[in-house]
Amino acid sequence: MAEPGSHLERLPGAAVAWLAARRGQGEALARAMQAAFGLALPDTPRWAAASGRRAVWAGPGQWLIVAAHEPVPGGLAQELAAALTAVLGARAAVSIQSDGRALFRLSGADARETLARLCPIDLHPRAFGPGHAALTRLGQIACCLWQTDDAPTYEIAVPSSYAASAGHAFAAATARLPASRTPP
Amino acid sequence: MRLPAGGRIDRARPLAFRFDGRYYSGFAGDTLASALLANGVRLVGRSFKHHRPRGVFTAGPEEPNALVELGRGAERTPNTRATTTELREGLEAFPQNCWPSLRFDLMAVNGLLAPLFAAGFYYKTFMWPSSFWEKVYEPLIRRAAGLGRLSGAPDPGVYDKVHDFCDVLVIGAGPAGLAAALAAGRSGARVILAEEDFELGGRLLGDRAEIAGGSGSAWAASVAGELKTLAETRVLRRTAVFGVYDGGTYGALEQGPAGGVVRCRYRKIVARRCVLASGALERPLVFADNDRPGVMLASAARTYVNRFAAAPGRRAVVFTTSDDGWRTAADLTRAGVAVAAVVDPRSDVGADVTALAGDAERLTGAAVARALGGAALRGVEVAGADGARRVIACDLLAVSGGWSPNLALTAHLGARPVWSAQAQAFAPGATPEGLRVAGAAAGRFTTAEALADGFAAGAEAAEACGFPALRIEAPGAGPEAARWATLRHIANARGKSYLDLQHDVTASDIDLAHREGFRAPEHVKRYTTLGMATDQGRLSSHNGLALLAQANGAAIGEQGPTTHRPPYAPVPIAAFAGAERDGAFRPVRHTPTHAWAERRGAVFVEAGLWLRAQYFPNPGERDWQESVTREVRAVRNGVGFCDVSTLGKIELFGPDVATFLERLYTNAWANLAVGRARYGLMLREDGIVLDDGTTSRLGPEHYVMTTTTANAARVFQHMEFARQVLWPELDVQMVSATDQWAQIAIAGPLARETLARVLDPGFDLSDAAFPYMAAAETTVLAGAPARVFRVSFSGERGYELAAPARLGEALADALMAVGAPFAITPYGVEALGVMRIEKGHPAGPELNGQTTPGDLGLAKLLSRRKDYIGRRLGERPGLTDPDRQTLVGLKPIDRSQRLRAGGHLVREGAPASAAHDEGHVTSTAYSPTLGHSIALALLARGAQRLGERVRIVDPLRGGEVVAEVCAPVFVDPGGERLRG
Repeated sequence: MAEPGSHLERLPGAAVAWLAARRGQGEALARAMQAAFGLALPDTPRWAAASGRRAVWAGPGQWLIVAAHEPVPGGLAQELAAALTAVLGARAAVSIQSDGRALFRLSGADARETLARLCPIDLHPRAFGPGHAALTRLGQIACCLWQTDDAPTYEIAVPSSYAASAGHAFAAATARLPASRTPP
Repeated sequence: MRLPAGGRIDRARPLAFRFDGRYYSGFAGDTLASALLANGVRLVGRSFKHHRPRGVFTAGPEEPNALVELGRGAERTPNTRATTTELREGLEAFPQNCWPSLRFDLMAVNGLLAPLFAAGFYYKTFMWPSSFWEKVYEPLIRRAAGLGRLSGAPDPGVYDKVHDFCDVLVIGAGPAGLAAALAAGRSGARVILAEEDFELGGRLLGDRAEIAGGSGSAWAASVAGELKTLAETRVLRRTAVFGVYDGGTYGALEQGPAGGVVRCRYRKIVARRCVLASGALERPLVFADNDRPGVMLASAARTYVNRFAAAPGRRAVVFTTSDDGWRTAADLTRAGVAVAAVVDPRSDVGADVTALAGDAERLTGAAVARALGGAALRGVEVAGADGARRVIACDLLAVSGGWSPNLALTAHLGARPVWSAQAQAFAPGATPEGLRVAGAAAGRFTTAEALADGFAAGAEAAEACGFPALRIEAPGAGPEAARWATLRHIANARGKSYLDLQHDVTASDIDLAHREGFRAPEHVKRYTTLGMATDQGRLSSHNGLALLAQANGAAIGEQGPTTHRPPYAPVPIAAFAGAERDGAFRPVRHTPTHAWAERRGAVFVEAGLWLRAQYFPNPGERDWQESVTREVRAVRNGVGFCDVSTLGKIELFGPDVATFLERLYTNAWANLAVGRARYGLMLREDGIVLDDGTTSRLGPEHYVMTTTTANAARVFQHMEFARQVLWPELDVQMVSATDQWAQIAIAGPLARETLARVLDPGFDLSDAAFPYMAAAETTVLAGAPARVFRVSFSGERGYELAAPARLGEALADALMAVGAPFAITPYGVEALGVMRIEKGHPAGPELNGQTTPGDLGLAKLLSRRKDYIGRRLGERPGLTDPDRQTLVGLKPIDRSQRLRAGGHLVREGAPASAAHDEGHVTSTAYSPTLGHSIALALLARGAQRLGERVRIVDPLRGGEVVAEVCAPVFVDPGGERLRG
């Protein structure tokens, strides 16, 4: 079991690109992504990762491609766009979202209890584990959430204009955790 | 009086508390009620209407009398049940409903005037004049009959809100609930056991039941211990489930423990299966003056002596129609309380039952006719089997009328309990999907039956969720008798016989309602207010139904109970809000230049969820008007810039985007070239204007749309619906990019010179290369991706420059630097609004959900060569009526007068009445360019009335202004300035 409590950090340098298959091109796009990046695009609410990039399901035929950091704003999306164009022509849509999403990482034994105050979905290990993703909400803020490990660690992307409010929501939830998680 | 030994209190942990200004001492493990009884406090409150003295009546959440205000100042919480309030050090409670004091209550005169307060009193008395309803009657009623008072201050408590999920939810931790939780928990299912009390055990805590050769409470403790060891079982104490909702959703309220941060926590529990083990409620008996302090439910008296070691009296009489009541006599005797007599109207009580009375006098076939005493019980008048009356002195009367299964939660989704003649009680009817009732709530009243039923229900629920079925042999339990007769009102001409103690509804109120023609339980409930207090009729409902059935000459089962609705337990509104209150009531969105604007001293305004810079005051400026005027002049004469990132931005991709736009917008889109922008108008399906904005084509299969700030989410939804549902055959992908881009409007005669210096070199901004309504991608700030659009909202030469949001502040700094020679001026939404009114652009006040394109002078944008959303319904006669109100401009005849939005337009000479209302002023501004007030308005046949005079009347704020109707474009109607 991990340390008690939970740790929240903002991932300011993360790169995010939104990727969508053109109509009827889902399989072709999946093959191209596999070939170009080794990424197996999930077609259910899950994520897959390869060589520093993560493909997170973001709706039918849509994904967020997330990398820990990109040196130049928009560099990742440009790289993706270039690779896709080369492999697939114009059969996918790519939109730079690095500045459009604020990424948070929440980790630790209390992470699940904290999120139980914010997300209306079941994050119990039997229902949601590493590899899972969800489009849900964080309080009143729409978010895309995925679990990366058993700590548990979650990464949560919210529209960047909501970043401060999301931070406040996390803080309020943490302050409301029961002092002791096992009843006396 | 505290008993010298026993009970589940911790005598090593004394707790000091105050009630009604006096100091008392109790122990950890006490409730406020048990501590008061242990201190000999019998009088705890005054009743709602009659202001009769009242004492503790129950030992649980069904308490109708012992409601107190807890805490003082802003912390004050009214209507708190002393019987469920866990005692803590320093607790302070106040009686409510008494003035000036608990012992001497002036309003008790209401008791003497009680005939006035009979059923339907409010309806009969406070009828006329209607002008008195709010000013006189309501305050009067509230003062005389109010419950506790709110503090009136912001609630300082911390409230929490949690989403919980489980396989099996068990409600109630009495014998059946504990058994169910154990059976389900052992199978490995995810179990939540919710118990309202702070201890697990239910009746096992208050009774001397025997389980597996030991005490019931010891068995409860051992189960509680085992539940702790089950990794997937969670036990929530102090948690009341108050509502059942669709899809296996349950609402619960958890009280925070003493000393904790959280006052209470709202839990939304989603469960695949539920075992409702909510137990049963003991019924009071209806006889004269049955509300005297010292009259108490028999089971509560047992609880006080057994669980809390608190004797609720010194000399008791038990009045029972159930076998169960006789156990009370045994338990009281054992605790050292003298039991004078057990009175049971039944004459066929078994010898094994009557043996429980020990040395007490056994009066079968008899009944208590009246309770004697005032602020405390002095004795009872008993009518014997032979009809003779005698008085027995006592200070405690324990009453038992049998038990009613606690079924409220089974009925929240519309099912109705059904009468069971065998159980002499209502039984669960159809239950909500996935919910099974177990234990006493299901009519299994003995401990042995409840245990067996609980184990079976828990195992069944877990099995239904895919866990192995466990057959657990229920432990043996001691023999118990559970038989009772339903007793009706013991009529007595003297004294009032209360049915609903909390709402002061008496047996004669039911008779009166019946005499006045009320027959249906739902009508009688509303007419008499029976069961409508905060206790939701837990104690009164059964007896009320029984009396009504008697009056109707019907059986109780024929008419059924009244409807149960959530919440079953009182829930503070603050609990639903949780952390989302005050500043966190809703999220706030910040623009990419927010911190920059803050540093410049901007004043902010809320625009939906966004905070936007309203204006940027300079030192020495007297008011906002002066700042805004300066900002407008700077744009009209030089250059200014404004953060417009809040406009919705939607990226569209795919070969069919042009077709998609053709169907969404009213105007033509098929021929938009790459590198060009176009203004578009979108309608709702019903032909009313939805939104407007520009869409630019950045590539052959790549467009970017802008929407108004207010409608961004709505337009996106509208488009997703169109894309996914209406035209799934179109190859279009879309994503919101609102937050991705910092978008800055740069406007004014010197806008081009400014922009040229901030873009990376090599971009041709000449009017030939980049004319009005051009759009392009380029770079800014040394290589960052950028988009440039030549669009204008101000009417001046204007550009919008977009860069990744993180560069917002850098972009603002760069613009200030390169624009310094032109005295570049940042402007806020106020100046933006002034300039759009000067240009007659419709915005929120005009796109008000009632206007058509024709109303706004935009009919030229309605293509006749294609179909689009809203076209067909927009052709309805009502929407094309030439008499409709249309957009016009207004100028005051006396230019020094100020026009105000909201004023109504009336013809000169016509009366200022609704019949002559011809429209209203939608937007106004002081125009720095014209030097006077201007307005946009919607006016009947406005376009044909240019040059006419109208009166602007404002009955709400007073005042009247005469104005001239003009075209809605006040500045540069030809548009030369924006084209350059």
